[in-house]
Parts: sequence; structure tokens; C-alpha cells
Amino acid sequence: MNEKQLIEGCRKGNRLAQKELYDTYSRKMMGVCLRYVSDRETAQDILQDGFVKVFTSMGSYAGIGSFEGWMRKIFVNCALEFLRKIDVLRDAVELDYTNEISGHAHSVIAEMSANELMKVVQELPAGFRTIFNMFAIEGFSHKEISEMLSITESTSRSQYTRAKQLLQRKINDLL
Amino acid sequence: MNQEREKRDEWENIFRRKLQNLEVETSPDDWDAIVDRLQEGKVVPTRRRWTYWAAAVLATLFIGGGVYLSLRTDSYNDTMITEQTRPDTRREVLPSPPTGFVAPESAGNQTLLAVADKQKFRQQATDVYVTPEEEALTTEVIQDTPTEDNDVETGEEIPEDTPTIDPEIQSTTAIPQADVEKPTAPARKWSFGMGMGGLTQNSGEVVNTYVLRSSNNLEDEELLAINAVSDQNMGKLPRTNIKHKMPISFGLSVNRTLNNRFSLQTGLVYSLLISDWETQASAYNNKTRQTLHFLGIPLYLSYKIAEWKRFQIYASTGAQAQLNVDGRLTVRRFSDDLQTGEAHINRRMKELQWSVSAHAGVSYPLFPYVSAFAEMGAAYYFNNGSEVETIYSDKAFNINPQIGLRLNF
Repeated sequence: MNEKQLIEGCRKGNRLAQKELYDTYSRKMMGVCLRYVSDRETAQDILQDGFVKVFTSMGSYAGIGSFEGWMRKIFVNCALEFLRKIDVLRDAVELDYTNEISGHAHSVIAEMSANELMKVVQELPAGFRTIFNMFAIEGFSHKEISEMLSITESTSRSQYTRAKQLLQRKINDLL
Repeated sequence: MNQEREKRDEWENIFRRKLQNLEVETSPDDWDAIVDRLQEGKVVPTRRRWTYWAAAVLATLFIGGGVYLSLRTDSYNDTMITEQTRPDTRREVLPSPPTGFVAPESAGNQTLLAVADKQKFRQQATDVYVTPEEEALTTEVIQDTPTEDNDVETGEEIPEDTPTIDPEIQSTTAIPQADVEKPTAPARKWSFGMGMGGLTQNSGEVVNTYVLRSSNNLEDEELLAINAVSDQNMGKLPRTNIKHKMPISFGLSVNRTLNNRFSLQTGLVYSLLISDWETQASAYNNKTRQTLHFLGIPLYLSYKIAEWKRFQIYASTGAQAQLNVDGRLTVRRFSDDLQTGEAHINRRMKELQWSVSAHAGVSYPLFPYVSAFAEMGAAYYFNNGSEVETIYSDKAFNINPQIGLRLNF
């Protein structure tokens, strides 16, 4: 089945189509979940939540734009929903300290594997990790992040900067 | 956002390239859990959800009410037949208490029966109202008897060789003595209100036996004595046939999922147990129907074995405690196929009925929160020491096919 047939099958509640869609995207979406929560069991819960929402709200996908992008947003929202529940984003503090990352650091991370980078990201505190993921990986602007997380735009910026500094420090420690 | 993204440096781009499409293996259980949740917790608009609930409740009331009313109707019909025949058969000597039913047509034993009944009725004078006409009729029948007039009149001298009946013996068939009370107990209204449920079907059984459990032999002794005096086959024991009908159960079942495989089930189960006793002797026959209403609380641990499409195959095991909330005995006495009387007696098993059971079955989701199931189970009912005889006491181990609807939360 191609993507269009899969979507149509899922809309009709066809279990085979749902399974195929799951098989196609589950590993990628698990990667998304694990970027937001480091605990694998929690990531599994979010993955399950996400697919249930995908299947039950398939009718709201208008067919415009990337289907994978639409799915990814659902999984990010599920992860954020979980993080809001455990209130990890409240402790975000504003920092106006910035530090340029050297060109040497660029070459180091370019040589690191995806799994190594993932591990470093997972070691970030939840608040920093969330904003880093949303800004650097998902591509949300600080304005969008501030609206989604109910924080100020400057808080989003400062948290991101702080996350970068921590990442840099962790990568340096690996060297 | 695009403008801001353009500002992002190479450092961020490296992270994005490497992590955005990173794939991580999932657990095989994840898909099972997703399917479970899709089946059990489909998101439906609230208005539709209420519609489903209303339909489920109405269906339950309709089915449960229909079964209950049909059973009640049978009982009322029996009573009506008796009441209609009674005025026409003025040959009936005495009013119709549960004791001392008299068959006037058997000339050979009329007198003896009259004596026995008269003795009993004197003792029960405060309980039974006898109209003057009936008293006169009674006397007339007794006086018409060609022999033993004096004995009958006085009620004191009975020939030694004449079998007598212990006046203490209260006549009903297969009823423990302690349960025989005033016969005027009206048919009690037992409120019936249950939710979704299943139909339990137990194998009915016919047991031919003389001595029943508890003190049933007492009543049979009396019947034996009554029949013995006129029976050509003196000494031949009356034969009691017991027939336990298939119990009917309706239950509200609540399912709580523990994980992908295991779930706990509990709820409230209503069970109707009907047993029939028929004591066949030569002159007089008794037919007794026992109707017991039970409410039970089960607790089962269920394990999902496999899943195919939307069907789930599962096995469960657990225990159930049942309380007999109400019950009734209806005793009818016949002489030569002519009904001569009827009595209603309240009966209740005071002890809890415990049982353990194991089931295996298939369920299929019909609506959100509602699934149909069909299962086969084996149950063992523990002896609770009660004198009330039921299918559970007669056959402790039985196989139950069961169908029904189950609510899932």
C-alpha cells in the first residue's frame, strides 16, 4: 500500500493498514519520543498515546503537507503534554549569558554518531532538552515555543542558550 | 520561523540532520497495547457515547425484564389454574393449607385421611380459617364413611391396626420442617435491576432418589404413610424426581486493564435457580418448585492469549461469592392428577455460596466500551453446609457456556 492507501485504510479503521502505518513510522516516532524523555518506558507510553491519537484523528489530516510532519507534530504534542503533567518546564530560568561555540566543536559533533549525540541530548535536564529539541531539531521558533509551553519568548531563548552550553560541555567531556 | 531558522548555525544543522530521522527499535508489546486501546477506548463524541450507554441499558432491561416476567407469568398461571379448579371441586374437604390435602375420591382411605387431617387442623385452628360450610362439608364427608364413624367423630380412638400419621409431621414435599410456616405468604415482589450481562447455562439434571438432602425424608415419610394405607403395594417407597433447571444469570461486568495481557474483572451478577421436586406415590403426588434469587460478586483475573483481527481470545480464573437474596417454594399436591391444593413458602439460603471457576472465551468489541463475549467455563461450588438444596449442592462441579455483553473501562 502506498501512503495514500494507508491513510485511507486507517481512516476506515482497517487494522492491517494501521499496522502497516505503525511498522513504517514507529521507529522514527520512537526516536522523537526518546529525544523528549530519556526514560524508555515513558517513551513507549508516549509512542502508544501518539499512535492512538494518529489513528483516532486521522480524519483531521487534510492531505495537505507532509503526512510524516503531521504525525510528528502529534508525537511532539504528546511528549509536551506528558512534560507539562510532570511540570518539568516550570523551572525554566532566564539567562542572558551567551557563549559562541567554536568551529572545533562543529567538527567534533560532525564526527559523532547519531546515537552518541542522542545520548548527550538525553542527559540534558528536561526543560533544556525540550526547548533544544523544539528549536534545533523540530524547527519551531522561540515565539512558537513560548506559546506552546506557556513561557515567555526570552525564557525560551535563554533556555536554549543554556542547553547549548551544557551540550558543549558534555561533548568536551567526551573528548 | 524561516528567518530565524536561517540564522541557525552549522552546529544546530548537524544535530538536526543526525537526530531528526533517527530510528529506534520499538517493543513488540507496543502494537498490542495500541490495539487494546483502540478497541477499548475509542474516542467518540460525548453525545454518541451517551447514546451507546442508553442503548445498552435499555437492551439489558428489556432482555432481563422479559426473562423475569416470563418466569413470573408461569408462576401466576399455575396459581390461577389452582384457584379456578378449587371452587369446582367442592369435594375438597378442607381449605387449602400447606398441610393435610385430602383426596375425597379415594373411598378406601378417605376416613383415615380425614382423621389425620382433622387432627392436624385442630392443632392449626388458629392459623387456618374454616368456614361453616366447609366444616359442614368436612363433617358430612367424614360421616359418610361407612366405618370408624365414632373414631372420626371423637378423634380419640383409632384402631391400633390402623396406620396413623404423626400430627407433628407437616405436609409438604421436600421441605425442611423448619421452613414450613404460614402458608399464606403472598408472592413477594423481588425487584430486578441489572446492567449488561450474560446468560449462564448449566446442564440440567434429573436425579431419581428417595432420600434427599436435609430433612426431605420427613415429608416423604408422611407421603409414604398417606399412600401406604391404601396402596396395594404397601411398603413401596415413593420416588422423588429432582430436576434442577439451567441457572440463568445476568451480570454487570467491569473490566480493569492491568497491562497488555492481564486484566481484572468484577461486577454484580444476578442468578435465578429453579429446582423442581416431584414425589410420585400411588395416591398422592407432590410437585414442588423452588425459586431462588442470588446476587453474586465475582473477581476474575483475565489473560489475553491471542488476538485475531478484532477478536480476542482470553482465559480467566477467579472466585465468586453469591448471596441468596430471596426465594420461594411453591408446593402443589395432586390426587389422581387432580390438584387438591397449593402453598407458597418463603425460602432463603442464609449461607454465602462460594465458588471458583476458570473460563476461556472470545470477545469482540461491538461499540466503544461494550464488547460481546462467548466463553466456556468450569466452576466448582463449595459446600456451604446449607440445608437448601440447589444445583450447586447437587452438582458441585459443572460446565457453563456463557454469552453476554461486557462493559470495558
